[in-house]
Amino acid sequence: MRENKINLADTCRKDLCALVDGEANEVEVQRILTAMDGKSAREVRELWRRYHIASDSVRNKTFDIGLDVSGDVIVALKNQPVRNLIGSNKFSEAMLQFGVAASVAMLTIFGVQHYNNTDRFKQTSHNVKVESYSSQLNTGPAAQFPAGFKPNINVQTVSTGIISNPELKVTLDIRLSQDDRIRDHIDRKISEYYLQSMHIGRDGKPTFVKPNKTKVIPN
Amino acid sequence: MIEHTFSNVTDCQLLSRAKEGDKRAFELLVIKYQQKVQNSLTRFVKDRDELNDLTQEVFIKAYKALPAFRGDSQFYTWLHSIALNTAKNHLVARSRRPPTSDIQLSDAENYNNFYQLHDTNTPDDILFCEQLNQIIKETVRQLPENLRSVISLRENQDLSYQEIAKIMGCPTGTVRSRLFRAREILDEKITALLSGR
Repeated sequence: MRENKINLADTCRKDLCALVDGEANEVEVQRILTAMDGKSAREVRELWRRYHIASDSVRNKTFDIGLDVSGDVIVALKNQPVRNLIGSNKFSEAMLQFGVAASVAMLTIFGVQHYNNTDRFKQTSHNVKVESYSSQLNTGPAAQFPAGFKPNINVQTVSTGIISNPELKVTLDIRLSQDDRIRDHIDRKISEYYLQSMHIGRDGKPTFVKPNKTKVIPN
Repeated sequence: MIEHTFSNVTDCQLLSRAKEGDKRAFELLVIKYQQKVQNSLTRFVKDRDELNDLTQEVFIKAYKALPAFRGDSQFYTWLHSIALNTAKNHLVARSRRPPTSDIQLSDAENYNNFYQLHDTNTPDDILFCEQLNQIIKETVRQLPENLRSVISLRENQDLSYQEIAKIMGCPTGTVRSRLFRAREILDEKITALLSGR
């Protein structure tokens, strides 16, 4: 007993006493666990056990001094992998998957919208001459394209309102070859994102497959 | 519905660390609950070595399943169900028929006559436990009034340090140190008895 008291610091004994009562703070718990690695490891374990024997006896609960399998259990668990499945990790894993899925979905939606638009254009653009009563050159935001992307589309807004010049005819000339290139580009991007989402490992982290760089040359 | 006892607070603190892979925290839980788990298993297995093996198996299974423990129930309740399943599987594997009725959780945890439950204990073990139990109780009776009150309020009434401080009209720190002193006195008696065995 005297030897135990000398080996095990009073601070650690007090911490253990508080932990038995569920009144130890995180610092105290950490101090106990750290002591379990040190010279006084055995004393910490034995004192923890004796405190519970005393507690069980005072509470008229059953106790047994013969059984102690804790050492064997820890030896058996030595080869067990360290598991870390805290909620936050699960959450971040789920968010990551959600992010990839959302990106793919967004690209798909934009792609489909783009196809629909070009299809609509196709229906009306095979050198079909659209007659209009009035037209004016569109210089607004609708005519603004991303840098480096300047399709050769002569689009003019058509107004069915006031007839100012009935003889004016506008020809929409969409070049199909250019549409095909854009479509190919979107296809490649979507497949890259799918590929990336499929490469999410068991640990929930994507392997970040580097997508092949593709350039769209509009013309 | 989980009963929020202070024992549960301790379990939660240790469990959160064990879930992060801290085996020392899990070891403290093993030491705390090994006796109760054994009580759950004694109905199924009588042989001492078999009982020890099975107790180990229960804790190893529990550690592996820790990520699945969401804290919806008390840790011991969860451990008790693992113990029952392990014991039944053990008997089925050995082509023995498991008992038709399970031992109740409360019986395993709060059995008053500790020596009755343990068919595996030798008469010497039973006698020693009785002796130890008597000495602890006698020591508590002989404690100075302030220490005896503190340990009684804590262990029998399950009050927090703050509640005890309020009842006794002293700071929480005083309650803490009095409880420590009381436990040290009890521990001195227990250690003396254990070392003479």
